Amino acid sequence: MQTELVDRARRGDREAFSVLAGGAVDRLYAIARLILRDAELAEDATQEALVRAWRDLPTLRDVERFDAWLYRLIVRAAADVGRHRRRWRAEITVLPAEPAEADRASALADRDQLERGLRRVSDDQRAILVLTYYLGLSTTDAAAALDIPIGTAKSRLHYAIEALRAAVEADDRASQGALREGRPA
Amino acid sequence: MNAHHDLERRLADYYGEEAPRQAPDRVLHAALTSIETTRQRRVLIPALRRFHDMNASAKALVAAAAIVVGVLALAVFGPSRPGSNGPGVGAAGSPSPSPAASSAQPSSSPSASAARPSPSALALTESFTSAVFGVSTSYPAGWHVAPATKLWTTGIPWNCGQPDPCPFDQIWEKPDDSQLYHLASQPLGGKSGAEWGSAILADPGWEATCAKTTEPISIDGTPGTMAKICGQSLFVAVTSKGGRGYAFVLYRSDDVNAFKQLLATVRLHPEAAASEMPSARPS
Repeated sequence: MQTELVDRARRGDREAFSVLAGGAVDRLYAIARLILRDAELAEDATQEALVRAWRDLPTLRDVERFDAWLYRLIVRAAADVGRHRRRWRAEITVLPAEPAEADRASALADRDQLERGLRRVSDDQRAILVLTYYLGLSTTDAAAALDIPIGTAKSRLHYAIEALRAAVEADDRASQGALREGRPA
Repeated sequence: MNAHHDLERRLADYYGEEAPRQAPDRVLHAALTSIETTRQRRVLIPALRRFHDMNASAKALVAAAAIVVGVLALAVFGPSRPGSNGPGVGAAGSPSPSPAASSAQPSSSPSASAARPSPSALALTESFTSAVFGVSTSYPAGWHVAPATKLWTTGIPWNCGQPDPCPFDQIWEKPDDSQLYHLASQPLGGKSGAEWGSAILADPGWEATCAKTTEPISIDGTPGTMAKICGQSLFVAVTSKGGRGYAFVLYRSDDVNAFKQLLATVRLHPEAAASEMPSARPS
């Protein structure tokens, strides 16, 4: 069914493309949102990816690869949107880790810690983390979506996880330090 | 479960909870409205796609026929022999460079000019001279130029955006999702050219995800270094002349030949570099 729609859209059928876009928009938006961590930028990236998908669809040779191709487009669109955002990055103040209050659920603290850690990894690294741990793509498929060699995808994923772990551990240390200061012996 | 897998599990759980379930309706609406006025990119040679879809024996038949036609064409319209005037019809397949492009090939920069034209070889018919950085270059027709709006004093000449002042000249193919060519220079500030170049290439702002690959290159007869920034579709080249360090960037491209082709047209004029931005003149 999708293959037929892709083929029709590739030949200029806007109605077929509308159906495809409607089926993909939520997934693409979620990917962009997780990579960019900003709702407004994610909207821009999703819209841009869909327009590029329409524009470049005739160049897609293998209609079976439509989904992987869409992932590539959304990652590129997110990177482009992110690139324009980078100039503000230096102005973003990363809030220091606050000691967890006793009545806060540990799950919430866990989530906040990952949130802070993810802010400290690059857009490229976040992209492969999202493709791998949100979409569940294999390294081979993630490499195809990112248009990079498999070896590069493996090392990028490795460095992304290590960068995230380092950020989380640094966050842990900051939290423990703050706790110690707040509770004099 | 070890710490490594624990972090991966936490991440998967986090994404599962944090991912929005639904995009705002306006996203799809805006995209579909936009495509109403967006033309699809046409495939130039649809026959190639049909060829791709053929089975092996049909492909062999078509290939054999193409060879026969090619041989016959060569026999009839073959390349002109030495001594004849101008290129023969058979040479028409290799586009002759435009006057601007051919005159821009410096004999003194073997590395850059040695780049073989890739299938997507750029026709560098336009020229640009920086008002502040003491450099000129050729670029393809149809590309757009945005001169720097401030001097390059810190950082790397990669990112800037409106409305912020931009410390490098930008030449780009299209507004979005296309190749960007940046040029900038600055005083070496007491460093040697090699030290300056190394510092620029090592700047963490390039966001390399692994070790860069570098190669020596000559720009307008001056030795320099070209690097492919790992993990980015990004090439950077640095060189120095007359007490100034020069940096060139090609972003959103993996075509090293295109970058070398652009660099081969670069001319360095450090004596023409400005120490302050020219004041805006009323038009």
